[in-house]
Amino acid sequence: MQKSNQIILQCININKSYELKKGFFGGKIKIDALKNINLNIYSNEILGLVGESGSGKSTLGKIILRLIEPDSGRIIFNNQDITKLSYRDMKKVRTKMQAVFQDPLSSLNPRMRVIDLLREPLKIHTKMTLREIDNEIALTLNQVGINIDDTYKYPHEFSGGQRQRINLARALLLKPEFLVADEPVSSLDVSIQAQILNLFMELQKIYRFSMLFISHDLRVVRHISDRIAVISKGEIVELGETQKIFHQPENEYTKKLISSLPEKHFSH
Amino acid sequence: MKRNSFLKDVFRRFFIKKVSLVSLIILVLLILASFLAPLIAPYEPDLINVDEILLPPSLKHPFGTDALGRDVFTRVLYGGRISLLVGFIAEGIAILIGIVIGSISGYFGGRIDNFLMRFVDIMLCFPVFFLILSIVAYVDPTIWNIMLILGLTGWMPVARLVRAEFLSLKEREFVLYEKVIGVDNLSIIFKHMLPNALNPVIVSAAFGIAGAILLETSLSFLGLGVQPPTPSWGNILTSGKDMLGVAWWVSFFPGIFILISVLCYNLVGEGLKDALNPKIYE
Repeated sequence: MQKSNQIILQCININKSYELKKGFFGGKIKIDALKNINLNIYSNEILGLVGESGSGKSTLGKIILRLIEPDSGRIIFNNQDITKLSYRDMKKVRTKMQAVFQDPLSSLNPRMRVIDLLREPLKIHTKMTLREIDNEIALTLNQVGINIDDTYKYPHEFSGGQRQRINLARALLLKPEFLVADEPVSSLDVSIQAQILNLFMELQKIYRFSMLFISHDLRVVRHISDRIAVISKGEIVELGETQKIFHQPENEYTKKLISSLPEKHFSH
Repeated sequence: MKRNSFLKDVFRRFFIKKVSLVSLIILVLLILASFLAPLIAPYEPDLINVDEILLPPSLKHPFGTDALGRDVFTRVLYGGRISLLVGFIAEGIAILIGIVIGSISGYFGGRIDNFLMRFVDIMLCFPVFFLILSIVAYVDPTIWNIMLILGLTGWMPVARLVRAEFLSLKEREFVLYEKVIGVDNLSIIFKHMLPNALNPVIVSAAFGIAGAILLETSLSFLGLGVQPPTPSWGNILTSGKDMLGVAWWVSFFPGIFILISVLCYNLVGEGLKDALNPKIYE
């Protein structure tokens, strides 16, 4: 928990709503996915974002990665407003900002060999030769516990845990400063979850990236986060140090969430 | 597990089904025979022989001769060249157009999708056969024009198929990840998404070729397709229709070849559908 005070990513007044058509002739209903979100993420910090499904937590992750455009609001990354950047300028920012998604199999193109999938980010963003790229891949794969000789296979030939290790390695190849992890362990077996979570924490200490860790699982978020933001119906209802959130929750929704956990003893 | 196991599995599953395997073999033989026609055929396709008019099938003329004394077997072989090629190229053009329009429509969505899909709807409103008839009235019915017209009027189902695949693929996380690392749209569409969308296209191609062969045959039958003396299965069939009572063989043999090739393409398509869908076997 060596947190610095330097802000790496700032969300300012983010709003996003979807329009749903009601029937064939009916009018449109506006659904607020995110309402006035303000969030600071400090460098070298793991911020857990927890909420139930439909709370807008994944939408926020996608807006930060600029996969979805917000209706209003700004994202400041490294003191640069990235909300309106052109494709070319955004491409430069993307090397510093990476993502790991929920479904490890769906995250890997089934028609490409794993080695080619790993080479791709380096081919796009660096001028390294193929040999240098493969060296870099071997080093990173080593840190997630995968042998590069195994990567001449297709994604379906790996287990779920291995696939998520591959996804993590791919995200780290560009040495990002900021990582969005969108439910990265929720589709894994419970026995594998802990391994992968620990791997995230280990690598965070080596690479010193900041991370927005999105999950619906309070226990997972508690295990990994320095701070926790609780999101409900598109609004951040409580934000604070992990210990504080668990021991002295202030918001009613947070209290309800915590009391719904099976084990009631929260002291270490 | 072995490497490249996907393609291997497809072949294995395809070969399990004897019907599709036999169909494929017959098709290959038909195509080979047509394209090697100059080597196989006993006569010249246009050789008129007034001494041997309307002879029934015999050892000398296995499929008999037509009203001008030309050998029907020879003409059916040469006609296969045209009919099979027209089917293949016409469907190829249809698939190219369908892929481009369908992938752009599905990937970008919104207004572009709306515009392109309404265009598809409009194209589908025309009864295709009569649309082709009216176009043929304005252009010369050479085989290249016929191929082009069949392709230009046959791409809509392919576009819809590809669009549907792209709609589901673009929500997949590997496509999101390509955006996260800043891959441009064209590479995402053609390098990453298209290979994952091809299975249903391959299957529909097999059915599409069969359809194109039938259309070309119908056009030739009406005298608007490939023009004699160049033989195609359709126009050989037509040339025999007035003497069906006296010389059944002139129409019968090209008809049988149309039947066999269309049937085989459909059966191969059916086999591919199962072979490319691993879920059935798991």
